[in-house]
Amino acid sequence: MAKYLAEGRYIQGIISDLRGQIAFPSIISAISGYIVGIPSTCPITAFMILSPVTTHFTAIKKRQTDLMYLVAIGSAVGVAYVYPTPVTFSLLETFASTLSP
Amino acid sequence: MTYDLVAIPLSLLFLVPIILLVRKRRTHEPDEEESELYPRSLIRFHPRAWAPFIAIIVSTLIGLFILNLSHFGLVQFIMLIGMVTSACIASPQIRWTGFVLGAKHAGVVIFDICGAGALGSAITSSTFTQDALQIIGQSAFIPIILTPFILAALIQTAQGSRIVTASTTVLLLAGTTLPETMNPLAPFLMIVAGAGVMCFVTNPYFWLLHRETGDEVKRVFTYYTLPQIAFGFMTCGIALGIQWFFPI
Repeated sequence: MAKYLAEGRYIQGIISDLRGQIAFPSIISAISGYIVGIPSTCPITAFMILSPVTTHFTAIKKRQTDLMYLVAIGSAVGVAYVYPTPVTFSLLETFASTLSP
Repeated sequence: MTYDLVAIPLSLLFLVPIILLVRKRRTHEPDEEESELYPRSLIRFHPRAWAPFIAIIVSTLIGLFILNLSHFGLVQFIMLIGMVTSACIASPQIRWTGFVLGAKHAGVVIFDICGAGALGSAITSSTFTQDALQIIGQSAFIPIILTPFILAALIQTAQGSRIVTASTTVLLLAGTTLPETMNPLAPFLMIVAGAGVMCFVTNPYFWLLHRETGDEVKRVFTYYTLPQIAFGFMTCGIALGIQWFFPI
């Protein structure tokens, strides 16, 4: 899914739609990391897809790195917490009898 | 009990302080420095870009309430639907390229999970669990109930990968009676918390950020590692609260 979204330039569409709803690049960066992290199943993949896009929000290098950190935190949190990702999948397999997704 | 009903709001809540922290460093936002790559006046909705996510949500509801799939079947079902939807919206030129790239990535993830399973099985066969549980049990300072968090944190600190940590910790705990005595949500959240609490020198993402941002280690630690340490301890605290107020 993540590769199709990246190859088809749909990631830019997602960022653009978020941009329409949210004025702040910081929030967009964190949320897009969170959203793309889940289907990509890997926070690093989500970061590699998103960081070149989100850094275009500003020309200032320091702010670009701030946004990169937000993408990183958003993707790490999305992959770590939300089911289904490889992190939560193995856990739910063990606790499946008493816990539903 | 439904896991995502707790995990999604909780994880989104964690993003708020880090966003505020970054925004606090700026006087106003957005400002004139923003690039014209996404001018708001030209924005239009892109339903095709969201189609895989919508398909996942719809197929989750269908899988749960109409097909009554098990959680194992459900994850295969919704990811397959998501992948097919992505392939359908992709242009014919990139359909095969995307499939090949996705298959390569999937192979790496499967390798990671299989490796985690093998490592977990090897550790389970050793005396690691008994030794670790004995040390935690004998400690006057560590409550036994924190075992899932501490085990996960130790494993994650040693080898860096969340996937491997989660798979290994759950395998180790499955051999004990501890999960049976706890609300399942509590050890689940504790493992998730422990699996991400120390994203530092053994974590590949840490070094990727170090390279991509060009920042010194101290700054990467401040903006990447420290927030996740805080999230980990907060999640562990919430898991303890769940266990305290809803024991089983």
